[in-house]
Amino acid sequence: MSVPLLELKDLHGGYGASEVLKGVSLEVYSGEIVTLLGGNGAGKTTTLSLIMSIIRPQKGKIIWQGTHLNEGTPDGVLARGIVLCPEARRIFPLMSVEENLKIGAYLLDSRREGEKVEQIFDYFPKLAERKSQLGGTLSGGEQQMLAIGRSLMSEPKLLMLDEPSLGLAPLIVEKIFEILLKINRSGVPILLIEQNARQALKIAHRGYVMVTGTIVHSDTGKNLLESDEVRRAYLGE
Amino acid sequence: MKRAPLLSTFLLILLVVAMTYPFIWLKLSYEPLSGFLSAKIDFNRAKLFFTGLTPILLGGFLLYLISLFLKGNGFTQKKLSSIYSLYKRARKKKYYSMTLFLLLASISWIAGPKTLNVLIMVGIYMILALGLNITIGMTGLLVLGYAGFFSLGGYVFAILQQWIPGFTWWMAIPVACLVGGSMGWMVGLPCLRLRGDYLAIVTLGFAESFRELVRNLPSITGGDIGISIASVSKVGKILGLGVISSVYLWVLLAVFLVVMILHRLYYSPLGRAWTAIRENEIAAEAMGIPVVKMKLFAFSLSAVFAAVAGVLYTAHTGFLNPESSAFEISVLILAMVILGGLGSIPGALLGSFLLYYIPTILRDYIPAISEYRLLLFGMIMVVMMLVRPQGLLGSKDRV
Repeated sequence: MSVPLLELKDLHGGYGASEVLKGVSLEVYSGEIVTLLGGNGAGKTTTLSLIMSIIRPQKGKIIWQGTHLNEGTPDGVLARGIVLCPEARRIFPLMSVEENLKIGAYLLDSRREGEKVEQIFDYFPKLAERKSQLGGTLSGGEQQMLAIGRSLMSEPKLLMLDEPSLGLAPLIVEKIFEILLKINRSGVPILLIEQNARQALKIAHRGYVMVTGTIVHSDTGKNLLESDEVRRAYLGE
Repeated sequence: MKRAPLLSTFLLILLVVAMTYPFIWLKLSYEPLSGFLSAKIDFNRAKLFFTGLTPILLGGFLLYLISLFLKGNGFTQKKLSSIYSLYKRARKKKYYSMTLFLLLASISWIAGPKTLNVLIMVGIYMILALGLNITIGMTGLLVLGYAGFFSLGGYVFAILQQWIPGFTWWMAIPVACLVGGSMGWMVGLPCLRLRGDYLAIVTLGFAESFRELVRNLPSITGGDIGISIASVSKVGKILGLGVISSVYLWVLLAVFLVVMILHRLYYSPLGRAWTAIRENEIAAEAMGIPVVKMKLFAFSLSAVFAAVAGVLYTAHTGFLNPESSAFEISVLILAMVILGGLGSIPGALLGSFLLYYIPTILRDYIPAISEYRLLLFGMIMVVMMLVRPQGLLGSKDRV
């Protein structure tokens, strides 16, 4: 745990003139699950958009494996091994499950598509059953699995997830998090954005708590889960 | 339309008649000298209108009754799609397309020049519809000025054969591809950040300004009068056939090539990337698809196909004027793609066949109708949008 895989240093950014992030610093080390908690409007999704180069930082640095990521494009960032599984799943509703997955391997050598698809089906056997079904006809949980599977197709070195539990039944959420743990154990570090703090902190090694554009807390997942302030603010206790 | 289908269809027909009737008396004419559009009232046209329209309305009503009857007998879309899947299975078989090509090619020996003429135009429109299908159907970019690229291809050929004696149509094809592609790229570059309606307006503007440019450069383009193609530059005879048969064969070959290219593209990572952009641009971007680059490529490629169609058209008719980039042509191509089914290759083929072949046949055999061709188009489109918004061969879920 010496050099972080991904490091944000005093990152400022937002949309147009408005500044959403007011100096965010965080690190992700290899092998970790890091979760970023925070209420609506705290700037969680903005952080991920900045990392993906979907929007440009106003100030600050994004350092990935020792080099700057600041002036990239989304496809360039993806080519360097960071993938974002966007909020609200955003699968392609009129493409089959298999085609959806293959889109994820867009930057990969096309001869390896098939082999990767099989790997994803190992993680998500349910998707294998629905291989040729249209993405839009899947249930919410299956769509989320598909979105995660699609993100894994590019063989990422860092998987970023934006609220994978959004709008899913508790049982399904649990299942999704189990799979995330499994993915992490296979060697993929995860940066997880969640409102479902309890679930996220259960699997996370470390966590950050964000309030209106700044990090107010950072600790191990276990400590955060037990901290009074977090319990009060996010777990409703 | 669910509660009382018969009644509402009848009302729809009444509505169409009521809305169009006042316009029937107007006879619009264009004065080429003054450049004015004049409107005259001509009461005789009303009679013509009813003799022409009544059989259509009755025919449409009859078709509707038949469809109701068939539906009552369990003949639904399911059965129709099973016919389609049969065709799909046949496609997979080896030599299927070869046989089809030979069959279609044999028409050039059998059919007369009149039929061949129509079929050549159908083929050219097929290339256009397939090309437009790349942007509208696959990538989801609405392009309204597609005829501009068509005209551009034609003018590349027409101007070059004026400048270089002995320049033939097939030499113009690569040049037109190049010019068309780069023009598509240039028009696309500034406006692909726009979406939907805005992009449509910009492309429409391109076609219209291209037409005005051509009209106002008489020294190069012949202005309003247009350019005639020297006979050496036209299509030569092949296989001991007549000129028209030869043109037909070349157009047929071009259609097959375009279909083959598109079919390969459709199932390639590139085609999937286009579909992904159409389905969800944000997700496509998150998956590492260079969205702007892909859109530009789709745009340029469709312009290339239009330019090729333009060369073929000019080589076939031996004449080109600015009206080739008229808005009506853009709309006609768009209608073909929508009627056939957005994003579907067989759909684009069927759509262009129906919308070109049938009106031509009608014109020849029921001349009274041809006056109201556009009106008929409009009605067909409205009914289509109500009954089958995804187009004839479009996927069922693609609404």
